[in-house]
This record gives sequence, C-alpha cells and structure tokens, in this order.
Amino acid sequence: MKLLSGFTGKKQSMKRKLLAYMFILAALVLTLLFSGLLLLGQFTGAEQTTFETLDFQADVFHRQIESHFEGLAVMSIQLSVDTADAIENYLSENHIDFSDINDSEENIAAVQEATFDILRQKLLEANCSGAFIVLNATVNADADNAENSHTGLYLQRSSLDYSDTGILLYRGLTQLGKEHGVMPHRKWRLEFNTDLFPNYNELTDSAQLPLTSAYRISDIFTLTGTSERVMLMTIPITGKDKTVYGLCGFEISESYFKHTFSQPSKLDHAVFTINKGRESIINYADSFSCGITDGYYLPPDGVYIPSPFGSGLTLFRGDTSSYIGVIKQVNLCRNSDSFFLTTLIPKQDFDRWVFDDTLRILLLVLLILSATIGCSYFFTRRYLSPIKKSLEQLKQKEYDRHSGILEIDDLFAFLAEQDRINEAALDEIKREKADMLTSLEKIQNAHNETVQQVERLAYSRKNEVDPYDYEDFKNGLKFLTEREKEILNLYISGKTVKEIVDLLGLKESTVRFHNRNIYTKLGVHSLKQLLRYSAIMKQEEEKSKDIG
Amino acid sequence: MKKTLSFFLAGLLLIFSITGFCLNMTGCSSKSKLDPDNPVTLTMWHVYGEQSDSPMNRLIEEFNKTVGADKGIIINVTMMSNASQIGQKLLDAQNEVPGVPSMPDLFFCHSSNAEELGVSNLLNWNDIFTEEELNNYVPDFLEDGKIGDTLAVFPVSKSTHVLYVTGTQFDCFAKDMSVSYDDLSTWDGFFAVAEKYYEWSGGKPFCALDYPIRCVELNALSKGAENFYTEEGWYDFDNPILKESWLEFAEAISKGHIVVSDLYSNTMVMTGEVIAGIGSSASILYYNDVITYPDNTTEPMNLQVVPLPKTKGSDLLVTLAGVGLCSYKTTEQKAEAAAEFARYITEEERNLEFVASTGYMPVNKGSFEKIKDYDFESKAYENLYTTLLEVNETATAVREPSFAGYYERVYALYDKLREMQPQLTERFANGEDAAKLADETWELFRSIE
Repeated sequence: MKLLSGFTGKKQSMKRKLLAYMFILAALVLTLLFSGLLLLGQFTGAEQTTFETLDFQADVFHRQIESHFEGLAVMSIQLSVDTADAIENYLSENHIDFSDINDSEENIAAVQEATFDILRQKLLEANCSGAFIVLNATVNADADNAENSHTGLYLQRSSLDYSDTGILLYRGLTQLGKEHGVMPHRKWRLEFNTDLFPNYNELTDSAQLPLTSAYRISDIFTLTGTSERVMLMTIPITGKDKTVYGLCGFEISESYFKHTFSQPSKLDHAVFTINKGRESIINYADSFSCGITDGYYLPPDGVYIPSPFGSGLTLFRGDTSSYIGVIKQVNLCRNSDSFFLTTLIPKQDFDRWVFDDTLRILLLVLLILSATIGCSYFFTRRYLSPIKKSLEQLKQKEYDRHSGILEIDDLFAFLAEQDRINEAALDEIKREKADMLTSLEKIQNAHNETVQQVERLAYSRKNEVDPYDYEDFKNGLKFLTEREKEILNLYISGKTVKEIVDLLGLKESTVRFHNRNIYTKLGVHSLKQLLRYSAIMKQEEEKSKDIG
Repeated sequence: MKKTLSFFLAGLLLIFSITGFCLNMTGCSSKSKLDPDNPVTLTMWHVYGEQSDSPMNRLIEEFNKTVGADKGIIINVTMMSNASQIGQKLLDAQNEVPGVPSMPDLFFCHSSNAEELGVSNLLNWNDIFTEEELNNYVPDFLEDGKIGDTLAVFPVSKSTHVLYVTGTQFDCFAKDMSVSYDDLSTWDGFFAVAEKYYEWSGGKPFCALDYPIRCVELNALSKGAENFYTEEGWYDFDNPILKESWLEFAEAISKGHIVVSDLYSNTMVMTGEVIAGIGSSASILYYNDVITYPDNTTEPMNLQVVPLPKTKGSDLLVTLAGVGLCSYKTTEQKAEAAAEFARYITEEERNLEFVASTGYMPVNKGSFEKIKDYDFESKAYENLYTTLLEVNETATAVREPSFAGYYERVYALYDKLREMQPQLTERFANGEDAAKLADETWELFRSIE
C-alpha cells in the first residue's frame, strides 16, 4: 500500500516515488517486450512451437521416404526387366519353356547363374539391404512342401557399413554363391518358402499390370531364422508373352531403415515411424522406426492409442510411455495401402518444454522486477541519498561540505555567498537602527522640551486671557452648527482657509461666511485668539483627564 | 531498509542460481551425471547374433526398458558385426572412413583391436569397478582384457573352440566305418576319422576349421613347443615343433580330409559339405536344425558338441577366446552410463541367461556355478554346455594372441589357404605327395608378413 501510494499525487518521499516510477518503467519494458515478440511471431505457446518443429521434421522425413521408395521403384522395374530378359535369353538359347526349369537342378543352376550378377549389381546400386528373385519353380518337385518352395536368389548386404561391399547369400545355391565370392548367410536355406512373403499370391496378382504400377510393398515380417524384420518392395517378373516367371524386388530391413533414415534434428529425443494402412496407431509390431543422427533411438514399445492434443498435434498414449507427434500420409505405390509417417517426441520432453517456457517467462519477469528494485536501490544510494543529505545540510546551513554533486556544491557556494551578503546587510541595518534610535531619542527630548515650553507658554498666556472672554468662548461653542464645528476643528488642526476650501469642497466665500459666524458666536476677533482659547481649553481637558 | 533490500537481492540471486542450474544442467544431483528425464544415448556395436536372432539385442531392449529408463540411459545398437571383422571396422570408424558408421560409444572387440584403437582412448574399467565388484568375475577372464595395467576390455562372455558334429550323418558313417566319438578326442584320431570319412563319402571333407592356426598352436604347445611368437607379433618359423604341428594339419588339408572353412564352418555343415566343424562355441547360435542338400532334400542335424581334440599323451589345451566390452572415452556421463550397462549385463543371473542362449561361457563366478542346473532351450545347447563344463574342469585354457595387427595376418593366411586348397586337393588326387604339398603351405605361411 505504501508503494501504491507512490503512484498517487499525494506527497511522498523521493525514494518511494522513485520505486513507483521504476515499477512503471519495468511494466512498460515487459509490455513492450512481450508485444514486440508477439508482433514478430516469436512469442508462441509450447504447443505451437512443438507442432512447427515436428511438422518441419515430418516434412523432411516424408520427402526422404518418398524419394527413397521412388528410387527403389525405378530400380525394381529395371531389375524385373533385366531378370526377365536374362531368363528369356536362357530359355531361348536352350530352346526350352519356362516350365522346363521346374524340377531341374541343371536349369535352375543355370538360371541362377544368369541372374546372379544382375541381382548383385542392382543390390549394390539400389538403396536397400537386400535384393531377391523368386521364380515360380522348385528344384525338387517331390520334396516335402514342394508346392510352397520356390527357387531363386536372395542376396543381402553383409553390413550397414556402406564402405563394405560384402554380400551374403540368404537363399540360393551356395556353390554358385561361393563361385561369385558370396558366402552363405548364417541362416541360409536353398529355396524360398512362400510363407516368407506373407501375401505372395496377392503380390503376383498385379502381374498383368504395367510394371510402372505393378510394384508393391509388403507388410513388415520377420525373416525366417533371424530376428530381423523386413519390408519388401516386390514387382512381378513377366515374360513378353505375359508368363509370370516370379517376383523380384528389394528388401528394406529394420536395421537398414533405422540406420539410413535417422534424421538430423535439433531435438534431443525424437522417433520417426512408418506403418502401413493403419492411421494413427503406432504399433512396434507393424512399423519401422528410426531415431536421430546423433545416436538417440528408443523405439516405441507396444501399441499406442492416439488422441487429438491441439495445435495439430496428436497424443499417443501407451502402456509404458506416451508421445506427442505429427502424422503425415504418404502413398508409396499405386493401388496399394497408404503409409503413415509419424514424428514423435516423448511426452516428458514436451512437458519439460512447457515447464521450461513457463519458468523462463517467470524468470524474465523476476529478472526485470529485481533489476527494477536493484536500480531503485542503487539510485537511492548513489543519487537520492546524497540529495537528501544535502537537503539536511541546507537545513543546517552547512555549506562548507562537499556533496559530490556539482549542482548542489554550486548551490552551497551560492547560498554561502548570499549568507555573507545578508549578514553584511543586517549589520548595516542594525547600525542604521542604532542611529535612528539615537535620533529618535533626541527628537523625543526636543519634543518633550517643546511640550514643556508650550505648557509653560499656555500657562503664561492663560494668565493673559480675559476670563470673561474665555468663558464666552466656551459657552459659544455649544451654539456652533455642525459645519461650523467642522471648520473650527480644521482650523485647530492647523489647516488654512485654502486647505479647508479644498477639503470640504466649499467656496472660499462660504468658508469665510462660516468664519464670521464662528467669530461672532465665540466672541473672538481673530484666528490667533481663537486658536489660543482652543489650546487653553484642550490643555484644561487633558489636565482634567489626568486628574480623573 | 538497506538490510531488507540486501536480503531480497540475495534471495533473488539464490533463486536464479538454483533455477538456472536446474534448467541448464542435466540433473540436480551433484553425484550422478545421469538424468532419467534427459537420458543419454550410447551407441553400440556388438557381435552377438549377427545375421540371426540376437540375444544381446533383447538384453539391450530389456535394459532400456528397466535400468536404462530408471537411470536415464539408452543403448542404441548401430551395427552388428562379427569378432573377426569388428576390429577393422572400428579402426575405419576411428579414421572416419567414408560410409562407415560413426565411432560407437560402446563396442565389443579383442584386446588386440583395443590396443590398435589406443588404450588412452578407452575407459579403464578398473577406475569404474571397485575391487569388491571385480572379485565377482573370473580372474583369468579379467586378465585377458588387460592391456598393460589398463582393463580396457571388460569380459562379458568367453568362448572356446569346440568340435561340432552332425549326429545323424556321423552315426551313419560311424556305423559303417567302425568309428566313434571317442576317436575324435585326439588329433591323431581326428585325422584318421577324417580320412575314413573322405573315403566313405567319396571324397568329401570331414571337417571345416574356422581357426586352423589356433589348432596348430594348441597342438604345438601340447607337443612341448615354447614361445613361438616373435617380438613383432608373428610366428617364429624356426620353431621345429610349430612346423611339425602345422604340417600335420596341412597334410590333412592337402588330402582334402579337412578344409579351412569358407567363412564359417556352420554354413558348410548346414549345406552338407562337411559333417563336422571346429569353431567357436558361440557358433551354435547359427546352426540350423536341418542339413539342406542341393536337391532341396533335408535331414535333421542332431548337432553333437565334443571338446576340441587333444594331442595324444598330453592334457587337453583349449583356447580362451571371445571379445570383451570397450567404452570409447567421451564424457563422464557416458562413462557412468557405460559402467551401469556393464554391471547390468554381467550380473549373475543375467550373465547366465545371456551366455546360455549364445553359446558362451559366463564371466561371473556365480553364473559359472549355476550353469549345471540351467534348463537349456535345446538338446544342442545342452550338449554344448556339457562339453564346456567338461572342458572347464579338465582342460587348460590358453589365451589367444593379442598382438596388434595379428588377426589381419591370420585372416590373410586363411584367405590364401582357401584359395590354394582346391588345387592342393586336386594335385593330391593326381598323385602328388601330400608331404610336399604341406611343405608348400608352410612356405605360404612363411610368406605372410
């Protein structure tokens, strides 16, 4: 309340007024600061900022995925064409049909030989972790489960180290692989079991379509014998006579996806997922994910239920953790399910940002307020206090001290000079006063002497006045008119006829008329006699007063 | 008034200091550098389960969900490799070779690889673990990870070399040729069985060896050879016992009775090229249940595991192999996180579970004691651990050489032997003397520098 009173017009101390004005300044600075930030679009809530950041990351991720799969589609088409050509060349050279390959070790080995280098070359050229050719044939039609067993080649890059061109043979003839310097995979098998492709028949259904729209992307599944999950881009291998020789395509493994698509980001923690056909549900089982390039990666675990979070964000709530994310839809191949890309940050990170934002604003306000108080304190100590002290010195008339303030020291010097002048003037006045008192005393003495002389003279004159005339004079007074009394008093007070004419505004003749009446009524012959009798009468009246 | 203001300003300063610290630092705790709300990520390269199922990845997943989540540590596996290649890849990463992923914070490698990377670049686990903690681990395994006084390679699991035999096929052959598993207990018996199999199978090799030079060394040591290494970290070719031992194996290779494996003996066993393989106990992770022949017919494997043959009249010597965990020096926070992870994966129960699913020997003393009672996931694993326990009780373990650059030479030797092998067999079949051919391999060995 004391501080608030500083804002009113009431009289307050300088300190309180300074504090009040500093707070006004602080409020002004804060208002301007926040208004400026708001106008420049820099002052946004954590939700909006998060959305903008994640949306940007999601856009980059989206473009990378789209571009990557488009490139892979181009390579798939080329692989399909080249493989079909190689098969048809072999069939043509040996004058056999494709059906003759089935159940023939020799023909199958020859076809694998014819296609091996094509596949290896495409694997090294394409951005992928593996490449395969599956033919609609088996090496042994009498073997167990022969109807689901398909011959072919499946090559994988041996490492995520791009400088390493090592390749492994996951499916195919090991001898052939060794001849080409490709060692068998640790979990090698000779042929494909079509259960490797979760939707093999569906994938070959698109064989009648032009290659440019026949490629498909499989669901995510685990490669037999390994813990590696993969997604395959498949495309039919179709002969010129529309015979479907099989499928070929490329593999994107989970490790490859995680390694290749790790996103550069300013975020400390972020996860990027891709899943097929199920919008807004991030399930580890049907999605791939990657982290950020500085090494962070922690895949979502289990199923996450989405719910709108505001500002374009979605909250994904799981059993053990929650995320905030942005979803983008992408079509990676025609006539097929859409894919959904989700950019996620842990919910705890978002909560921390909100907390940090709030704390920063509070700190800013506190900082400005404390600066205000600090400045007030500093100004009080360094500025107001010397002024107050100087004012006290002014009161005490101690002008000989230094205040440290130029203007005040000048004032002190000025006041000291004024004091000196005043004192000199006072001395002069005192001296004049003393002189005047002396003169007055002399005048008083002269006056007293004069009075005494008058008294003596009056006394002596009294004795010279005819008592009867004097008695007539006193008796005559009561017969005077008011005007006559007025004129008589003016004569007694020492006025001349002219002065009386001026004072009373009468004509001189009128005054003289009144004079004659006065003389007659009072029994006097001259003004001199009149004045003498008047003085005697006044003297008598004063004496009677003194006696009374 | 002055006093009040002073208190006010001091209070504000304190608030700013605390808030600023909490905002900017990873945690408010002065002791731990780890912060559960802002986890640190450690990238890792390992060698467990490449190309197959990886128990290490599962262990890491579990760690990230439990201890990692509680303490603020995330382990991210950025590459899986194998023990023979990881060393070179680490060197490439350290030298920032284009295309090679960035140097990981944690990795598994041999002591020789660690030495090449520079011991000063690696965390000394002795500084992290207390003496009491270190007492929980098998001393020989700890010693194996020391480079000078620095414990740079922390043991997580150890392997040895064993002889894998496909039971179904061997039984068939053994019945016909009157041989038994007992014959495989000595090198002489092993070579004799290999010869018989070669004859019985119509010219197929009996066994593929992943690390033939190690077999040569152990045989030479059993025969009484002493320090056959040079100061440069290679072999003393003037050592007669070493040469004698080499020639024994080289003759068998020249005759086609045994082969140096293409890469891993287990793939040769799976494709029916051989019926036995000498390789790391950890290879068991990669064996299929069946053998698949070129006509796509299959046979059950019935994998048997027996100790490595010994030299007749000598005690069994076995190799002590296996990579260990290294932490690349970066920040104190990462060092603390690395230590937490190392403790986690070598904790008694966890270490036992991990090794029991990967074919390794545990490094925690307590785990070792419990292995007898462990319920293994398959008969093959049970066979392996029966053998490993037998080996542990009866054999003398010999550490692998850890000279810098040693393994590069060894792999160069194997490559040349693989290249030479078919010609040797062919020449022997054409009537050339096996001893002469073996001498040629000795010269080949000598040519490796």
